[in-house]
Amino acid sequence: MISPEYDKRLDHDSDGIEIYDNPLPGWWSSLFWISIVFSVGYFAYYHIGVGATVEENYDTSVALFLEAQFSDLIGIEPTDQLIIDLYQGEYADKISALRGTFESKCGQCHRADGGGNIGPNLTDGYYKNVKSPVDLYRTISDGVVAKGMPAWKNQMREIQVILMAAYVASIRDSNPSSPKLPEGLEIPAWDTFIVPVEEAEESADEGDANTDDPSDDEQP
Amino acid sequence: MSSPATDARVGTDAPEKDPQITGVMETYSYDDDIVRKFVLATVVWGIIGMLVGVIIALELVLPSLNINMDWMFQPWLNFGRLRPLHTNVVIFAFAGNAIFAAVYYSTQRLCKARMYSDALGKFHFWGWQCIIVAAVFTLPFGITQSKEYAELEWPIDLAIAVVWLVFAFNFFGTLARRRERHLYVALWFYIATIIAITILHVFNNLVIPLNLTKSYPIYAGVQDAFVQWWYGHNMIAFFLTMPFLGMMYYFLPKAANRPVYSYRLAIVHFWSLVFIYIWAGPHHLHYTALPAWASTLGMLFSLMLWMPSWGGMINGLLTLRGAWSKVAEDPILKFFVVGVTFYGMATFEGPMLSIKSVNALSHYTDWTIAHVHAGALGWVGFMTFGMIYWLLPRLFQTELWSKKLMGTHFWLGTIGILLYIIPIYAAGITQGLMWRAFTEDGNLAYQFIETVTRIMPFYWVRVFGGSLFLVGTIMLLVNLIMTWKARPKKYEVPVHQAPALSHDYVDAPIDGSRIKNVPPFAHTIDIFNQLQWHRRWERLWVKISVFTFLAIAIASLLEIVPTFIIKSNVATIETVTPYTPLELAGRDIYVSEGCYNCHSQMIRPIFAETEMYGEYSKGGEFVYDHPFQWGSRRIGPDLHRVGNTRTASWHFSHFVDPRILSPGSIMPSYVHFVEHDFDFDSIASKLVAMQRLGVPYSDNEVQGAAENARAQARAIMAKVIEEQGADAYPKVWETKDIIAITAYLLRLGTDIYKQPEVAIEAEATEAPLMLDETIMEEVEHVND
Repeated sequence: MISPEYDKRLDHDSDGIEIYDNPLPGWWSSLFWISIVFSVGYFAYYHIGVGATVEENYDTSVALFLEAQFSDLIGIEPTDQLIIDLYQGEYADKISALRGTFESKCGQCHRADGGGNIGPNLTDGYYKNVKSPVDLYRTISDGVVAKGMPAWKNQMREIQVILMAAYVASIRDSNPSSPKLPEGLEIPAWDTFIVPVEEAEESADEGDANTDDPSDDEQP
Repeated sequence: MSSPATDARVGTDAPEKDPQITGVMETYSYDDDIVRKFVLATVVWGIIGMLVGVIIALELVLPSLNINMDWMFQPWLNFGRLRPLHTNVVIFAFAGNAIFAAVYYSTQRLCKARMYSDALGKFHFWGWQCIIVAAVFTLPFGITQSKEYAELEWPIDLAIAVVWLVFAFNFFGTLARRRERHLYVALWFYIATIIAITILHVFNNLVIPLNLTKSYPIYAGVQDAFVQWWYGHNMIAFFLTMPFLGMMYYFLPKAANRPVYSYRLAIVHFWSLVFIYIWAGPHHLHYTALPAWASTLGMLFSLMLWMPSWGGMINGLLTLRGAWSKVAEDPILKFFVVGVTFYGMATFEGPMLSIKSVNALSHYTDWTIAHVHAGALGWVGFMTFGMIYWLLPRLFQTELWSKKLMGTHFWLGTIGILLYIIPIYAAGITQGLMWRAFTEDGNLAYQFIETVTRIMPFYWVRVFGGSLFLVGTIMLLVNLIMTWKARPKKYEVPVHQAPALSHDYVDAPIDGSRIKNVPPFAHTIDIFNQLQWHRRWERLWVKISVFTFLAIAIASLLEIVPTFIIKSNVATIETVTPYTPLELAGRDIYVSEGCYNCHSQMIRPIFAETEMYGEYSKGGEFVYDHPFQWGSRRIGPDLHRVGNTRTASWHFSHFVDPRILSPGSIMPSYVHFVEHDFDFDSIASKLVAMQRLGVPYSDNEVQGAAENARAQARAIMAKVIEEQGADAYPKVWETKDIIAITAYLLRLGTDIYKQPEVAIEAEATEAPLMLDETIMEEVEHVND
């Protein structure tokens, strides 16, 4: 029931507009007080207490991502052998999945299919700055600034650059829709860079040793 | 139904009726001519502003509509130039004139007094219209300060200040001469509007002029962003909310002929809005380089705004208790009901969007645009329409020409709003989710361009919905003109009589506390709660004004001062240096073209975002950015690190036709950049202005600015030729605008990768660190 206090009018009107002296709705006052108390607690927790900052949360998400995606690749050294192994071996699916990333980051100059536009054709076996597979990694990482190729080490993590090098290696001899004319030198097929088995074992040992080297820094 | 109360707790006006302290009887009439003027201006500018809105909505789906006029090589119709025109016209001209119409009509009646001065009213009216015309003739020409809803350049800003102060003088003068002792609720809201807008306008427009059409703000980077969004959000608060609440408190009970629901609620929600709103601005800058504490304050005060805002909604909707049968018949009340409902919806959504984790999804997307239009079309638009339909018969002293057309307008408008906001909500959420989607292989699932093409169908529906809303407003204009045609030959001007306010008025004593057997402080609280003290305040306009001013000024200072004086808020980065003369001039082109309307320059520390755009933006990178260019939405991708990923030849090709390199892109062609000669000789004056703002350019650099710029232009061109051959692009482009804007874009976001000069030798031999570490070390190093 409405209390007798309800819908009492003030004894004064303004240009004919009357106004009731009704109380504040209870739920309204309660929610207002709750929002104030919550705000005090929230501020205290995040800015006086232990709440994580935005940057800390970001670092955590980067670490989790690297762990989930690249835990078995942490510390690898880019070599001719590795680049070839990556796209030919067990990581082949992961490498071919980089097509979208290639399209958005590289496709703007090299075309989505690598056929070349502002940048050279990456599929024809002719390269301007690459003599062996690992040069793909170096070129992407450091760029060829004088010739317009950006240094992607500022934009991608090292492991992502290595994987992208393997992707670029993998699109050699594909058939782009409108290929740009060859530029640079013709480089022997990637398979010719595969190291004979005995040597490979030796370098693999070195590779293991390298992963303990503190100067390697794939982790965030 | 209750009878008029005789409750002694509230309303102590009885002494006024005492003949001994009543002033002399006076006669007066109201100036409705000025109201007629403002109403007409509201509708005409509304149609123009909405038409520009429909045009820019079409440009997003048909980019070829961004026509490059051959004459003077001017892209007047480009999205980046017209979008500020749309926002400025609908805010300042449509909403602005509606506010003035409401204030001039209701203040006179609530004060039982004619406006202080008819002449000042006329000056106010014509001054304001000239300001809008000035906006129409500057913004499309690229004359802009590039701060959202504060784009107008400094001479127009000065004019706004003058006209606004004239309005303030006219308004407060009327209060001073009123014949009604009590200030009704609506007047409190008008007072808050006038005071707050004055402060906001002045402090967000402090600039150093370069010439008549160009200026640089005194703030840079983080501070400029902070002041801008302190202003930006409070424009929504004190220009698009408070005066419209005042409008609601007058016109809604008038139209419904019902008492307002709760006096007490009006008091509490008015003062809580005044105290809380001013803090909320930083919620526009979550996850940016703004100090975290400021961002948190922005979020929390926004949450606290939820109930105060809903206090207004409750008082609006519950005033209609017992009048719902009227609502079903009367389109005016329908406009009000839908308007207040959208107000409630928008003021729930606003606090929700200010929650950081929600904002992480919504920011930069069209979700914000949908939110804004729910408020703008629903609340501001429909309250205005309801008011105007209520006013038309009274102002033109004849029947409304067509009630049927008014009803059609209501339905067309309502459907228009829904067809606008629903697809744009969908578009915004689609964008937000696509931007953050990853494949199982740990790659981003979508390229940016895919997120653009995906929402095109939504954009088409928006064009349709917006057009319906525009057609509805045209119907209002038709109704207005036809009603005006049926006006009497001479308007009747009723003469009223009321006693002047006596100077000897004595307040009745405040009742004591009626609760017994409690400590004294409980009595104090009880007396406070009875609000009789507020009833007294309502007779003292100066007191209400001063307290409103203090609430706004103190809250502003509490946020602004620490942002400016605590150095660690913006950690210095050693390798960040001022722009070269060519880059600085290129930046002015970027500002002038309104690139910030589609592109952000602020990468947030959110994983999907750094994967797409690169390292997140640091406050120290923007210390020479007068004005900041962080932007507020991403119709196109973020550009803060674009200097690391694109070459000059890419920009050349992309500016001429964006769709060659990005099929499906909706960016306009900027072919005029290669037509328009770049003005090397004026750069020196820009450097001088920057020097005055504290940017460390030496006098030698100022003197050699033009030569330095020419050399950089030649160097960029030489590199393009080396990359692409001599005939890929005309060499003459090194003297055109394209060279300057390209130089600026090549510089963007690259400074943090440079080696500090002193440390180059030491670090050169070390293996390069992972990026995140490099930056953090640098920042720490500097903090030490």
